[in-house]
Amino acid sequence: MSTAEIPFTVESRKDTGLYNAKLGIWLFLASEMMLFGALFSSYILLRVGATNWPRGSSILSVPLGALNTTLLITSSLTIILSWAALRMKDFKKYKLYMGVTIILALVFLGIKAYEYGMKFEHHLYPSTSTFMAIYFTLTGLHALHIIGGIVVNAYFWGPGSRMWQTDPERFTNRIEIAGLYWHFVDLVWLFLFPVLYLL
Amino acid sequence: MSATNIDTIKNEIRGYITIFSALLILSFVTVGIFYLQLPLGFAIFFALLISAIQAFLAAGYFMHLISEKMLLLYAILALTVVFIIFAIALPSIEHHNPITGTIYQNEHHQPNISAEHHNVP
Amino acid sequence: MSHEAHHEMPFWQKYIFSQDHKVIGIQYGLTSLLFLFFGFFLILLMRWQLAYPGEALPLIGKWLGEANMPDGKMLPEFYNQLGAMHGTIMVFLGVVPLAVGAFGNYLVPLQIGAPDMAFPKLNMASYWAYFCGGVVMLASFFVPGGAASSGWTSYPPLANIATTGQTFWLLGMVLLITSSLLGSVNTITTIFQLRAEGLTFFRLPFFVWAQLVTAFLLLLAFPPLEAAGVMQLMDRLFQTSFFMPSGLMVGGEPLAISGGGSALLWQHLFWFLAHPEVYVLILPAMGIITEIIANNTRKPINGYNIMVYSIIFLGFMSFVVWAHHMFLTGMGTAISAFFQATTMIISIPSVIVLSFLFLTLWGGSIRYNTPMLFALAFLPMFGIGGLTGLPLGLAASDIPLHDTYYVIGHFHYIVAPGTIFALFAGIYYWFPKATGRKMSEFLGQLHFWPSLIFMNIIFMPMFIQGLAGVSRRLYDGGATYDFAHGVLHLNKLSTHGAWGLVIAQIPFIINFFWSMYKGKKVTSKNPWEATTLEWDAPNIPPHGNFEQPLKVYRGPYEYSVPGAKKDYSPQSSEHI
Repeated sequence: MSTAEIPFTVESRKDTGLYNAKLGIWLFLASEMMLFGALFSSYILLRVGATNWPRGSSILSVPLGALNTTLLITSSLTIILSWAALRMKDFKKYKLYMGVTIILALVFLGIKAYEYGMKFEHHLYPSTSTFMAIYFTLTGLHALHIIGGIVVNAYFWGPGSRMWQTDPERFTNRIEIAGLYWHFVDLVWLFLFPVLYLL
Repeated sequence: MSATNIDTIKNEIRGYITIFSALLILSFVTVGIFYLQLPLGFAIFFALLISAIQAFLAAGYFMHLISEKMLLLYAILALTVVFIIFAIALPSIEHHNPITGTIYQNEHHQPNISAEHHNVP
Repeated sequence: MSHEAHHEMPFWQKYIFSQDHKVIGIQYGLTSLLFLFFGFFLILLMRWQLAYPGEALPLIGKWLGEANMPDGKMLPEFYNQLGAMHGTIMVFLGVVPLAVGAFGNYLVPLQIGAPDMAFPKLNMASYWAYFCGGVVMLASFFVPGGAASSGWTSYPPLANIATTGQTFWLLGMVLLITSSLLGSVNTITTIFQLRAEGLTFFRLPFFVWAQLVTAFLLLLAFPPLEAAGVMQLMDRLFQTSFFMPSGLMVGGEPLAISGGGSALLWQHLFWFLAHPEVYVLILPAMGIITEIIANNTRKPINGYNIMVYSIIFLGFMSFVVWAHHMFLTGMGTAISAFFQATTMIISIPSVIVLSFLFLTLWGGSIRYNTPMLFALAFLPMFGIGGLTGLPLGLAASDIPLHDTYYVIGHFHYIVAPGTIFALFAGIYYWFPKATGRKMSEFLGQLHFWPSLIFMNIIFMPMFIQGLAGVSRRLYDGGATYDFAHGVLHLNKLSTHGAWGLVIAQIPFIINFFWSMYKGKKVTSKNPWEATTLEWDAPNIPPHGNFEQPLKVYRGPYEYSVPGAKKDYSPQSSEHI
């Protein structure tokens, strides 16, 4: 092993039990938790200090939100099935499940865009009230994270999947990392949906 | 990951599908509770409780925190608990302000609204 | 992967878009030094106005344009821009990138025996994000209305309604925060995963521990500011009311916004970052000073283990003290009492670290070279800074002192003759490793002594002004207030001190560049006879750093070990 090569990019280090990218993504997710946590605590502060605050369901569509929740939870399943497929050396299955993940995410975004459109049609903008402001900011930032995830997943479905030929173990790890990020994005939505739509 | 038995992975997949079903069911329960139209306090409690359970399942099994070395798991759990206690405690302390005779003027602990408008030019 | 090691790279890949942590460290170093001097230039402009309010600045005044200094006389709006940008540039573009981006990137892999950082591409990305953030910040001076002018703290409602420069500030901050986040993920992963064989956590140099805690602070504390920045951008660009209360009037007209927001919300989110940020400013400095003191006393650091536990504790505590910056906002006495208590508790770890560093001097064979002089000066200077923080951390005594010159004196003592002295010390100390040559001792002394004297001349009077009640951010330095008249002359003293400080930096600038090419070549890899792993790498370490993988046999400060042949026992030598 040349001294210029960085160790533990694929194999795990004994005392931490991790390979580098896995620790890296968990650290990144910790910072993301602080980011969304700050927005959630802003939501709480704004709501507690407000003279009147609408019930989310009076403005937002609960059925659409529930549908989006179902889509994201399913996409979490499909992305982990795609990783399991790679561990069983089944590249075709990986492509299938990753493809489904991407499509589910795109449908999620489509529904979100439709919801935003409906709000704008009823002249409900971020500037209309602090509820709308925090709704658009929270879901908007979340949607940006979904888009980021779609870009990464699409890269791994497409051009990035060439690494399966040259370094299958490293590629499998990359899909694990992508999955961890994707589960986190789903997790944020599992809090966003009840807080914004149902409370 | 080193070579693992296909059967082990097939078992894991069965586990994933179970967790997926649990997450889905819990989400439907959340929506169901919403339709019960409970008072806000209860609604918040149940919504956050179910979300927390979903988070535990997703993080534990989908993100396989359960199988990582315990140190990572405990560190994350401990920090989360501390953060939550903090996030709930601080606004409550501020709102109830147990040290008396300060920003609240009357015994009924109503905010001193007239004083807030006093300095508007 | 590491194919770079096997063929010659074009110039732009080797030096511009490099993935090597040492090149990136030097990029961070040179860029941040430029920003430090630019930030210094901004305060020199301000100090002219403070000493000679309303007078035309000779020569330079006219060049700064009609919009800023008509007839060479500074406008209040321009003064505010200088103030906000001086703080922003010094903290986010100067000190932190130098302490963490430059020193951290360059030294952490070397001190742990690693070939590079864990994620070289990410490292490169984090430098360029910093660079772009810096460009955006500088560009803000040239937009209509000029740069941000609502303080480095950007409080709403003022910052919300300020000119375009504020939007640039927010965008610049998003880039800088991104850079910081990527860097901290890299540092933490590197320290956990790439330690050489035998290098357990309690054998790490204190510098590495300091960088580890700092990286955690950056990782977890910056995102709330990012969230706040997004919300302020939403307020400014999309007319939301996150931070705008109801019924706000501007220029006699009610604002056409929904209201319902809270200006305090910004303060909570901002200070949630900005308090850990001050520990980001000091921890790397403590790390550098510890390395230099151990080396130049030829002794192990007293209480190393306790120092490590102290800074870990400090890291945790730094997240729960932020509202001591908000004692005067009417939060309520219960909350204020909580934050006052945590603030008093957090002073303990710093005192522990400082005390052990002082104790280490006792009985040492002290070598008074330039790095050691700066390190020795750091100790009392940081002591003054820390002690003057105590009346600020107690809510009752903070009431007359908040937002006065006392605060400015307090934090400048910590950052200027504190952190910046530590950074100077580090530059003189590690220069031979990075260049193969030593900096001139003579020019070093010429840099050190006047700098120390002028730092005190500039900042000591500020405590007196603050106690007299002179507020900060006053464009005329307090001239309009009767109660300030007795201390106004101190403005001139501080300004003259600032001029002295500028001149004192000239020997350093000459020394820095001249020594790179003409400095005395060092004959060994380990000219300071130190124990830590970076001294095992050849001078100007090649890609991959070490000729063979290292093995570590002992702790980081095994100096003067009884029975050893030399007065230092390197970590990587099998025998003492």
